[in-house]
Amino acid sequence: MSAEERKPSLPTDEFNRKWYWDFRKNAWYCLRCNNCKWIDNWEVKDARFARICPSNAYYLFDTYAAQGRMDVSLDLIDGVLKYEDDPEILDILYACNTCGGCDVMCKGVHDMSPINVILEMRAKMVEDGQLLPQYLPILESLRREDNTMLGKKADRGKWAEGLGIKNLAEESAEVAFFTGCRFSFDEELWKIPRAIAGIFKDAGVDFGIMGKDENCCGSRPAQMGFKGEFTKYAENNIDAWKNAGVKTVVTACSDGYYAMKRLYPEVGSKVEVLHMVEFLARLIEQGKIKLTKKVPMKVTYHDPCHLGRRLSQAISVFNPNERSMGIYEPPRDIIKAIPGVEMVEMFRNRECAWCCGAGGGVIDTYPDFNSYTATQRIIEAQETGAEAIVTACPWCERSLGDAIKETGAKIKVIDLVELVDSARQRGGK
Amino acid sequence: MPYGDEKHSLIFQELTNILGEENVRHGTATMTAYSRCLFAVATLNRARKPEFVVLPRDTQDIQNIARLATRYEFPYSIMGSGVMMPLHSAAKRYWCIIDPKRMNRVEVDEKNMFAVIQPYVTHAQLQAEAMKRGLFNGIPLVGAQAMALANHVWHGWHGSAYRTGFATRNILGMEWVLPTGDIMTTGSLAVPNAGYFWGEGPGPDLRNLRKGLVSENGSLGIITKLAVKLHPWPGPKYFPVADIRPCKTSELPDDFQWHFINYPTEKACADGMYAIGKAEIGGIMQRWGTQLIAWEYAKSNEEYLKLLEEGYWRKECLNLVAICLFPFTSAKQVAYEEKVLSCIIERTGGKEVSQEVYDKLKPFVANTLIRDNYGFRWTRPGNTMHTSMLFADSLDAVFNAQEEHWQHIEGYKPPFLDDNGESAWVLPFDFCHSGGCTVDQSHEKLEPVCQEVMKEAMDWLQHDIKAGMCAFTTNLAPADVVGPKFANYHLPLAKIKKALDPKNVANAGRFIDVARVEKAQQEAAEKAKAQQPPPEAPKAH
Repeated sequence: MSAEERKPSLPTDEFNRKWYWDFRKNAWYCLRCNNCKWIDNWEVKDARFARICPSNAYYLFDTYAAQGRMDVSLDLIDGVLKYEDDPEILDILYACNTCGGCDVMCKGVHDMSPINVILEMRAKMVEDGQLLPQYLPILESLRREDNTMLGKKADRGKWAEGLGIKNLAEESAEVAFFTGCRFSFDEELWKIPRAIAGIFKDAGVDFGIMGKDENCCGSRPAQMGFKGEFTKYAENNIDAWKNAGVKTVVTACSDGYYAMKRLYPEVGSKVEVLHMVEFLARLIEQGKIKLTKKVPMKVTYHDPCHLGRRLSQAISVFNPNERSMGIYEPPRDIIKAIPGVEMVEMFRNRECAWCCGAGGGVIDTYPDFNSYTATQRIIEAQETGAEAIVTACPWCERSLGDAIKETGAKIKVIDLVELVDSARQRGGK
Repeated sequence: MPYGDEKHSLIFQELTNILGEENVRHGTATMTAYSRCLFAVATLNRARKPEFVVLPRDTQDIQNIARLATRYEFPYSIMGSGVMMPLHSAAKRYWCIIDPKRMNRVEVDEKNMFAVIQPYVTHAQLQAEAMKRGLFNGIPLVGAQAMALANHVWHGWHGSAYRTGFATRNILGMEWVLPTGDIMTTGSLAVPNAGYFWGEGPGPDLRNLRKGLVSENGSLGIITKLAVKLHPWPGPKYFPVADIRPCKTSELPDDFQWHFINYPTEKACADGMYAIGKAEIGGIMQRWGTQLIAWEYAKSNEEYLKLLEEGYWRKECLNLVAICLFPFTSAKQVAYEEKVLSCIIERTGGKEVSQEVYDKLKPFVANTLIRDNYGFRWTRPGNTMHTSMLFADSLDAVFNAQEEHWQHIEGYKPPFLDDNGESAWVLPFDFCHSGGCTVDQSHEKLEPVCQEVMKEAMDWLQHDIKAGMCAFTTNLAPADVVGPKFANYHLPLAKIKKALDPKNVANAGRFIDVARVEKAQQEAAEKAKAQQPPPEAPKAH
């Protein structure tokens, strides 16, 4: 094809023209330097644990790395490649955890954002009607029941039954605890929001939940390319908090936290958003939680992508003021403050952490790939000799937990909240 | 099917039979992901795509692919990181890219101080495994995400090459699949049960056949396992790091010392480096160009442009020699070397940089060339770059050559972006027995700009050939173009290529065009014959 033939027909309206050039700039500037496939080279401590991109590690072809996805996206928006040219295009762009590992490594050397290219391309594919068949039940669940878990809206607040928590649809409170889809509908994980309620009560926090009136936060739909759904849910949640007089929103879900912290302000949110890790740190600092009980356990900490590197990735160019956006140290500080706990790091940690495998809709759409990714993390955690992987996201807990069940690994996964709950002094004693 | 003729289908089916369906692709999307890189020529050739990409698991798979290629006469190229796509230049039908991702094993022989690596092992992986065992390899300028095997065979200008020699000189035994699919082993590996420990075999040393000054990039077959020397590492397994990428900093242990020495002129800089090399001190030594420092120090393009405009590094470090003292034997050795260095600095008119400059530089460069080098930060200003690597038998010659190249490049601004009078990077090898230098220029990644850049590259190539210089650009040109200027080395090379690769399938079109050589030889012979005077008629007795 000649250069003349390859020239794209440019969008005519201003918004789409700007989108095209922003997108193209990012994708075209990829130099194939190979950094998007590996963790920071300074941090490689073992040849087995050097990769950053789960998708590239699993599918192996470069098409399944940020570099390849940008090449494919570029050809798609330039019209050189058509969806019907290759049936693999859907998998290439959707079999990605959107963990942002590629992005943080790329930003180490370039001014560009591969993760934004991938997310924007997914949104465009949704717009073009290029959906994964696996997405259809999720989309149906979102439209009918306002959640991604195929659960019934009426059951959303079921985890809190009998706990006497304020319903923010009827009462007001300073703090809204946003439960999120995974915690609300994954019964095995209900112990965590229930522990949070106990901690809040003992610490005297004025809090409530939206119960069955809580919507999906929109984070998962956004990762899958459903931008319209994201905006709808963001607006609904912001309105609900406003009506309830909420000043602070706390969530224990890292996906939800990312959306509410980084994406909601663009939709007009002005409330303070804290992850449970931050809120715990605040309560500990205020002396409202005292970590006095000994928990004799060797643990390692898994950084959820959306609590770590993804937080600084809403921007295309590295901004020195955004450098510490990832919440890396507070969970570690809390763990280390618990008597009896021995904390050991995995080979890949902080911004170099390997994803749990659940992100980007992969947990619902590519079970084998999800399982591979989680199993790799379990193997890495076992190398440390830890008895438990502590984390701070229900998606990670589900994904890693399932891999432990599948492999029979002798390690468990627990939420930081559970660890704190075991160590805290109760009832003012 | 993208190119759907019968031969394509046949090759696809055969590749699938060998490797399994999951390890072969011929869809257009996958071909797109193997079609471009940073260099101007790749930008211009964006439409040039392979027809197959395959993932072999082991040597046997590679053998089978090579046999198949020879049988059906289709070209193939192996590609690791893919940083240098132009080196894989078979712009022909049925081109097959071999992606060695499943060949990612590294085995370290601690006692005999070498590692055996497969094609998809990065320098970072190799270095991590070596350092765990108190050994080290080296880190190339391009960064530790590059593939160690290809880099060793290609040339390997490692940071520590000042002490250990460039990487090609650290190669031991090789397992090499010839284009016909046969296996050749070199060095001690050729001796039954001897292993990889020795580079020179019982017969002729074939390593240079692969590398020359720079590698033949797979045109003589594929190396599936390579043993590389490891050197004693007196430091920890890894250095503590702080902050988050791209602001990551690192601390070296106290018994390692970086020294940054400024010289008033390039001549003094070269003299200082010679003196340091003669004293055989330090583990890493290089002249860091100010452009390089600005590139590597900056965390964004804005910061780079600001630094360039302020001229901070130009003012503070125009002729900077950076040397890292390693405690190879003990802390006392470093104390001794520090004294030696101090004497050399005084004698050669150098001056250590101010504390302010030192404090700025050190945290960012502590790990540089030991664990990684932020090589690709060079590409930030224009989102691509052009590089000329000059290689010479003395540092003086390198300094002269780079000066000449800078002047040459002045005539090409634009398309090259203004470098504001910054200085270039110079690397000594083997304690300054030889040296190299990279003259890197940023330019925009646009087709018309890339065309201008290619023109500059061609001009410089002509200059190289005319001047008889062994430069990187020269070695990227096919041997039959360059050979006539260099003792006709292309003539025996064409014979070797033909003997090893009778169907011209291994990275075809890259290294040497045998048909063109033979045609030229035939024409020359015919011309010579035509010019010969007719034989005289026999005289009658």
